[in-house]
Amino acid sequence: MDLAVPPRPKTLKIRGGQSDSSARILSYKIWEAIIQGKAGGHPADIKMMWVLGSNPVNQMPDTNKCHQAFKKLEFVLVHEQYMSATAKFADILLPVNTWMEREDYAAPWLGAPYYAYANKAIDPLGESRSDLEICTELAARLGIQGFNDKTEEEWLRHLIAEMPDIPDYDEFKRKGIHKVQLAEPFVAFKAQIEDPENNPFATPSGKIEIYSQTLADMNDPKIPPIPKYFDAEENWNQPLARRYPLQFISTHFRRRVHAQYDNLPWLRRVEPQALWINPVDAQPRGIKDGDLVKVFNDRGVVMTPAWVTERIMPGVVHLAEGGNYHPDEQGIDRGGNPNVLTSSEPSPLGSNVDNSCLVEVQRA
Amino acid sequence: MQMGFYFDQTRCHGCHTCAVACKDWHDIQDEGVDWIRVSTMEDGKYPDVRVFFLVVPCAHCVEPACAEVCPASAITKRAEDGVVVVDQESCLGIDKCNLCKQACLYDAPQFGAAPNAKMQKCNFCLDRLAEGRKPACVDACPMVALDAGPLDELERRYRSTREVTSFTRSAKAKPCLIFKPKMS
Repeated sequence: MDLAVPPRPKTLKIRGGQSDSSARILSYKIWEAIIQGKAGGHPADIKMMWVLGSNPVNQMPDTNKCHQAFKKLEFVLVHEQYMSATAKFADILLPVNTWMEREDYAAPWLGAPYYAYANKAIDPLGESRSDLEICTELAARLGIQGFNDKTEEEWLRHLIAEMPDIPDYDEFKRKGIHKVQLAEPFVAFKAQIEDPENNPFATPSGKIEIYSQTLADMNDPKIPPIPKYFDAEENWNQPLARRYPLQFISTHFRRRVHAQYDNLPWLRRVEPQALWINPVDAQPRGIKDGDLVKVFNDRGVVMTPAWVTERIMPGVVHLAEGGNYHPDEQGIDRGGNPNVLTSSEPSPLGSNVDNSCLVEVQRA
Repeated sequence: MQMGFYFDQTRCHGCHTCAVACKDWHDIQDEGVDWIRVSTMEDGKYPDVRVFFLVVPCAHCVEPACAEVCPASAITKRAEDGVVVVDQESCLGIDKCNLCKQACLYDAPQFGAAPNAKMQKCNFCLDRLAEGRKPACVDACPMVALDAGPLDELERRYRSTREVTSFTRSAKAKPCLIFKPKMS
């Protein structure tokens, strides 16, 4: 096989995987990589996609490019519970159970001193299995040796036994929570504060770097060595704004977790998916509160109701992330998914900066 | 005794948890049926904008207009706690009569989409009250913006008013809602 990339270093392990390629694709470039393949300078001609624990068609930027990419794939396998935007592309759709139908434990973000045990509320419905069970059975059928020899409970017991913070698995499971008793209040970077000479940070200078020599050495005006404001890639003061004069933003929404729960009627009633637009922008366009509007740019078109409100800055419009993608026959999204409009162009250092782009809005 | 609700507008941030908890507790499947309603008001111009929320369940009025107009006497006020309840067996249904819906100033009588749907509304969670618990909306509120109980006790406990932006007190019906208003 022509790898065109160096072999996989030992630090990049995949359990049961046999490929020794180190090929990786920046997640934001995945649609381009699928569409263009090696001919476009990407490391592989991607033939299949296996999606679990994720809904990339809905939640990755530039939905229409994603749509093209999925149509090019020869085979798509998806684990889902709902007919999500991604599940609609599946050649094989495997019913995965929910977190309420399986056991797990969770450590809080940012290392707060407690752990939660998530006891299952009900047995898995229908023929659904966990991701681990699905992968284990598939590994056996695909001839992958030594992928997994433990049940989920055995894994949980094994993982928790290795954690010095949690003394007893059964007690933890019974109580549902384990609070770690700290001998003294936790202070971040205590060692570095008390003895910085002998406890350097893992940076070239050994200090917390506000000015980064590593970044300075890249000598790229778009990668400054100190934090600095940059206009969005698509910004109101650019020529493109003559065609698309409104700055479009997308934030999290109180009635969903990303794309999840968008289908619940009770929560849909709490607040409809709608485009926030200031009266200053709505009036000249003849848009009244509740009117169906067309939000568009070169990447796509979304039809959604308008919410005319003083709570958004003039010149800016907002559509909450996670609205479920429902394209009609013309490819116009009727579900209010902002990613139909967002760009998949990453920042110079590869971060996601799809929150801001330019659009125009018209009464539908 | 007269039961009532207290709503602290300074604490509410419009999350609708009260409304969802209500639907969950009473297992309301009908879309468009809201025993408790949350409305949003804006004041001012960007960037000097203020937002107000108003949460209104049934006001369990002292003189309920709905009961007064009901031709079937389906709506009654309980003597022991002043809670206004509806007997759906007696209700004529929305296809024949909507007098209560017209009479109520606060949109409390609700009807589902079914043919000749019977009136339904907030019943102060009488089942919870019997167990000494507060209504589902009150217990669910993450901002502790709601309370419920004997109206005189609520009035003693909270510095409150009987009117607030978008809620006009009917002197005739005497709604049993008290408020702590957010100042404009």
